Amino acid sequence: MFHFFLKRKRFFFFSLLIILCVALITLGVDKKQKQFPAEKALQSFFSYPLSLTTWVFNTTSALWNGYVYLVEVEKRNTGLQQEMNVLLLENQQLREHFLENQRLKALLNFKQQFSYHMLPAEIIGRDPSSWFKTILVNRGTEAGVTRGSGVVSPFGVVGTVLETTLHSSKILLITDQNSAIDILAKRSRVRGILEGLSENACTVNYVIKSEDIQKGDEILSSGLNAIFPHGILIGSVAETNNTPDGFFKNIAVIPAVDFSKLNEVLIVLTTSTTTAVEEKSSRPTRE
Amino acid sequence: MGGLIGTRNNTCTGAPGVFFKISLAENDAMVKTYSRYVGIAFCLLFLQTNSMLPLGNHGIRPDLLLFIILNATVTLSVVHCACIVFIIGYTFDAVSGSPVGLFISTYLLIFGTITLLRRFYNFNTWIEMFGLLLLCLIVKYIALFFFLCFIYEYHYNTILKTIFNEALFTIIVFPLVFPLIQKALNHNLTPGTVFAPKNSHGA
Repeated sequence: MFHFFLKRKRFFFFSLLIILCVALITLGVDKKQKQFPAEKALQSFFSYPLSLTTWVFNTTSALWNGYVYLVEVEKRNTGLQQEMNVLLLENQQLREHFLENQRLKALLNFKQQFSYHMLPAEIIGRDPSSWFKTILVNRGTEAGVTRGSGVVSPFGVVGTVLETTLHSSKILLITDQNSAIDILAKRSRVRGILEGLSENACTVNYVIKSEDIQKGDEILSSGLNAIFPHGILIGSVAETNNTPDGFFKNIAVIPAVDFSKLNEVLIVLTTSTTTAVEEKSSRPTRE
Repeated sequence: MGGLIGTRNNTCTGAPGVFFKISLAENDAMVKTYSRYVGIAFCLLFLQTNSMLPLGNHGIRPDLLLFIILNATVTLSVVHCACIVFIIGYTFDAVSGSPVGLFISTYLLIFGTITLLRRFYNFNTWIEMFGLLLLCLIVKYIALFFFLCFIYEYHYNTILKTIFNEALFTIIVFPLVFPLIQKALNHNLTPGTVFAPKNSHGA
């Protein structure tokens, strides 16, 4: 019996590996499955040299741009650029809040309010494969990042946190085919689910044919589930068409963020969840 | 003094409890081989992951790890190579956003194909190696197409576009990176050949 196994050891060894692969794939299909410890360790292992490389690159380029190339102009420009990015984001939100305020004044007491805190993070790596759209950032559980947190940039929504380790996190970009975000159209307030399609395109699903959505319409985050703040720009509609069969429209969306030029992101951390009604009732009254 | 895994040249005693018999020197050589292959694979993966290097921030990256799998499969024994391919695949799955097991399976399929072919051919020249790379790419994309389309429900038209871009990029990079990998692994090269005709490790 022992000799039987011994003679076919290579066959059994290879079969064992195949079984292991099938088991891993079966476990991997469940998207809610947590990361294995070995995976976390490998991700951490790679994040440190990647952080170091990013730091060296950024320091060198900052040294060149800030002190050698143009001392004052570069500094001023960087400051203004940062300020503009913050204002851009704020402006988008304010515009959306203004529209929302006009429409939903009567329902204000029932509106859920979330308090968000933005954590800046630097991109240290990108997905090594061409098949999946993820990025690695230098913030992890130590900074309060949790799985499922939203990630934005001053130009719009970037994605969601897929996996976290102590000092790094993997972000699933909105262009990945596994990504799904609840959205609404800015002009017509049509809701749908945005899914990734390819490197620079997404698609909006579950919008019925009769809904009013046109080329050029801006797509915003709906704010449901408190992953992203309400009203953050996601992209604009590039193309819409109705297929002869089926209930839904085909809507192609171009993301507002240019992922190839992205260096820094903001991780959305939800700090508290209260409702206006609760807040009102919990206030001390003089009556 | 025995190791856990033996090379194909090891003698099997057949005695219960003794699976392989390896000398201390062979064990050291084995550890060195593993370290070298895994170390280089990690360096290549680091290059592929790094966002600072101009290796396609637009999402299309060459598969540099395929070169080391190609090298290991042609050079090492079956059991050692399977272990190295498994480690490389698992690391790739951990670092990328892919589901666990996807790239392990793909790389093991490539390894299995080359192992079968090695019964009939010796891949000694550059042209043969290039042909083998093309075959590996075909196997890889068939496997990925199957996994992504039928298990993970990806859109097939996006997959086809990515296949073309990645394959092109990998073929372009092959003549630049593959000789460096070989040099790092210290293979005995003879003029006009990729590997020495009679390799001591060979299957």
